[in-house]
Amino acid sequence: MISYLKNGWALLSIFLSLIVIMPILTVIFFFIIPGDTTWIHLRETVLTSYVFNSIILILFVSIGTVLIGAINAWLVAMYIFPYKKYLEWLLFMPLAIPSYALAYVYADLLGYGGFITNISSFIFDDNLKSINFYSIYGGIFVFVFSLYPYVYLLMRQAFISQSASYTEIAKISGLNPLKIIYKVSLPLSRPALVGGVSLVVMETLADYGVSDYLGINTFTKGIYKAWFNLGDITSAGKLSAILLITIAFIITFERKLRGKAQYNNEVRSNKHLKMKTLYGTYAVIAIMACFIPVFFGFIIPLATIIFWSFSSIDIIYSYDFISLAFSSFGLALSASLLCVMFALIIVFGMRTNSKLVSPFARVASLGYSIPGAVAAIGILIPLAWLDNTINNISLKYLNYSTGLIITGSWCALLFAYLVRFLALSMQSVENSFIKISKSIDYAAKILGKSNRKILTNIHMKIGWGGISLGLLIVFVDVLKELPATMILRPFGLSTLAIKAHELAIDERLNDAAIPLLAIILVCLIPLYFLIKVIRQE
Amino acid sequence: MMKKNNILLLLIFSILIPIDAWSEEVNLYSARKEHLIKPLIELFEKETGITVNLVTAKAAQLHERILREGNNSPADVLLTTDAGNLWKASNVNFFQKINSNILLEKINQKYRDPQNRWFGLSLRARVIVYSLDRVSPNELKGYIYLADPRFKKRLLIRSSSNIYNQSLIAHMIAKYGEKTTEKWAKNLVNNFARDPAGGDRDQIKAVAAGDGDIAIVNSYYIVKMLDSDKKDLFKNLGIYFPSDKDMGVHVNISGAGLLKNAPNSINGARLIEFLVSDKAQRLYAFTNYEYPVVKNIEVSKNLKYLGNFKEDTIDTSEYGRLANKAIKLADRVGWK
Repeated sequence: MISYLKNGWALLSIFLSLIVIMPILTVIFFFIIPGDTTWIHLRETVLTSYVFNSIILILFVSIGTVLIGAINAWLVAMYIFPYKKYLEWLLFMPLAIPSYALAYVYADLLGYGGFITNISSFIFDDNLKSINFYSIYGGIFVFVFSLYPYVYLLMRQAFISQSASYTEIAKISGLNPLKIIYKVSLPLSRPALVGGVSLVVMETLADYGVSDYLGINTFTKGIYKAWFNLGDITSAGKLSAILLITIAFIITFERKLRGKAQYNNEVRSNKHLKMKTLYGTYAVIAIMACFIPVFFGFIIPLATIIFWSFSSIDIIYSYDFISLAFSSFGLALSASLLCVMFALIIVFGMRTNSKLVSPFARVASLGYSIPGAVAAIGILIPLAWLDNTINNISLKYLNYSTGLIITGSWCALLFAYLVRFLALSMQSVENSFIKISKSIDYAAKILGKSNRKILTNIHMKIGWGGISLGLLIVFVDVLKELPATMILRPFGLSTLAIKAHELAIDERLNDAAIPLLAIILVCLIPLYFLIKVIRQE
Repeated sequence: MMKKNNILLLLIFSILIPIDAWSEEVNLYSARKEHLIKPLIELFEKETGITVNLVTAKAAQLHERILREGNNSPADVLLTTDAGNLWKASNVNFFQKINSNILLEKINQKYRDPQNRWFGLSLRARVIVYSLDRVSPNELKGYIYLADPRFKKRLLIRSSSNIYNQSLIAHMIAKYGEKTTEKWAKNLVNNFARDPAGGDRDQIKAVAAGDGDIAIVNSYYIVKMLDSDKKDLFKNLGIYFPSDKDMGVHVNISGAGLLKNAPNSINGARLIEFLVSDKAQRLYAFTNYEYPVVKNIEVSKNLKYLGNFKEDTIDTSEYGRLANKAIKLADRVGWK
């Protein structure tokens, strides 16, 4: 087995990628089947405005998340200022709040009888009864403050692991700090920046909950409309295929632009970046810059949720929150381990044979941009087919009905998480491996180490920070995941996210507060370990 | 090595084989949220000793799940809101006929499938909620009149991607034909106070906040809000049941059907029958603020306060039949 792995590392990577690609292909497959009139109807009526809205949304969300994410990553990596110790980690925290929860919170605060509108009419004595949050602006606000941590996390990791020598050389050459950022640090962390933004874009495109609630008609809404309202799977497949092909095209284009540039640290230096201490006005500016996204993305929603929970504390007794928390935790943990395991093998496979493995790996990571419900059906179709085939064979030869053994079990659910979130773990793992010089691989090979040994003894040890980051992001995302969990879950399995969502869309926001708080608390567990791991480094 | 494999196999089998395979049970796929039907399920379990295994998801997604699971689907009963969803399910042959005198006697013909494959269990009306300050009740008539230019920039209604609106449009098509309905919808869109967003409750709040004068919403939303601790916020609102000589109030159902390949079909039928029992019907009326589908059931004070209304004579199965026409019509007139 080991010797097979040694030779077939690339093959194994391709095989694992193919497993993940299967449901994506299932969706795209419907692209080639001639459709009925739904497709034409959508194209003639609503599709143009859906596409336009999606473009506006991802454009502004990208700009917003890059500004917030990159600036804060830079501040945290390069400077010392008061309260940094806390802010550095608080900047992660918006990840723990589902974006639809953010939408509910702000729509409620700004809406009729909401806290903010009440205060403003009290102070200014005006007749302001509500501020309309139901718009594309509201959507941009929600996505920027709930998704910037992806950019922040990857950029922070990239800045910190950048060799100090580059900036020192730049300083000696007489570049001013702004130029150092622009000419040296940013170009060096381009893979991280692109990685972070593409995660943000894919997540925004895949979203249905927020834009549906805020009344933004996005491309995804077109897919939902075709499939779930008009029952036309062919048109839905066509739309999904267009979405995926566009994203694949953009990613490939960016890689072409990057050309042959290598991003590993060829300049060897054990020197860590020397951080500058900020004083006075600069320190205040730095604190404010870090605090604002934490305030809007975490503190306000958290405070609101805690406030709601006061009036619904009784609900703890009516639902079994311990078992909900356990199943959520168990699903998130096993999914994050699975995703990172796949990511490690695939990313390492790309390293051993980039030309062969990369195309498969890239397609496999597209799953992140498929809306959860669509991905779930893409999984259900082949799995149910497999199940029914097994059942029929068993009936024929053993006269025993197996029923559906994969569909509607944990396996299907974990598979769905793998398809949806592999991109997250691959992005973090790749980001940390890219810094490891290839000469290390060659040296180890000359010393007679097998590929497996190189991965476990060298890469995993050096890239441990990025790997644990991948674990954390997948964990948190699975904890918040809704549509795929709802569609594929077995009887009796529920999660905190489902509970929170069902109560929230019924506008029992007070009751939804308790499961939302539980999600935030469960998120703190892996976050605590991540902080420990990174501190040790 | 052998030992390890055995343990692994054991583990796999323990996941795959349900432990309580022999106990009395029924598998319920529900598009109604867990907290809404939990009281009903608990009562059923207590009275019959049958365990209910529950999965909830959105109606369209449960539909896909059943479709893909095919003949081996474990589902016994599909519970969902809106006649449109039930019609869609029966249209692809999900359901089997139930020969139950209880169901036939208790449920009016227009609230069930003509071939008795699905049954309505509770009722809701799509009503007008209006500002008492800015609208006089004499201004209001049937749904068709809402397209009148006098309501320009005054109407609030949620997105046409919601099935409640699709069924309303389908109802209009059945009454007035597609051409007239399309003209009506076009003028209706012109009367919108803002782009459709949020749920029915958000429309009610917007009327209270003065963003518009008239909202079209399902009855239980407003009743629930009038029963909440925030009711003072909504005291300037009135409720009107739109009807005129051509068309009465649009009433929709929540309902259920027994799946064709139900592994526990007897228990499934028992569950549906239980849901029209007096006890269950009262729960619908008191906890969910819906109208009971069975006549002469006592209802909550606030439901009673709404009073009697003139319901339209249409069969609810029409909503599903015309649903796709309704969706496309809404797209054509730019009803977001």
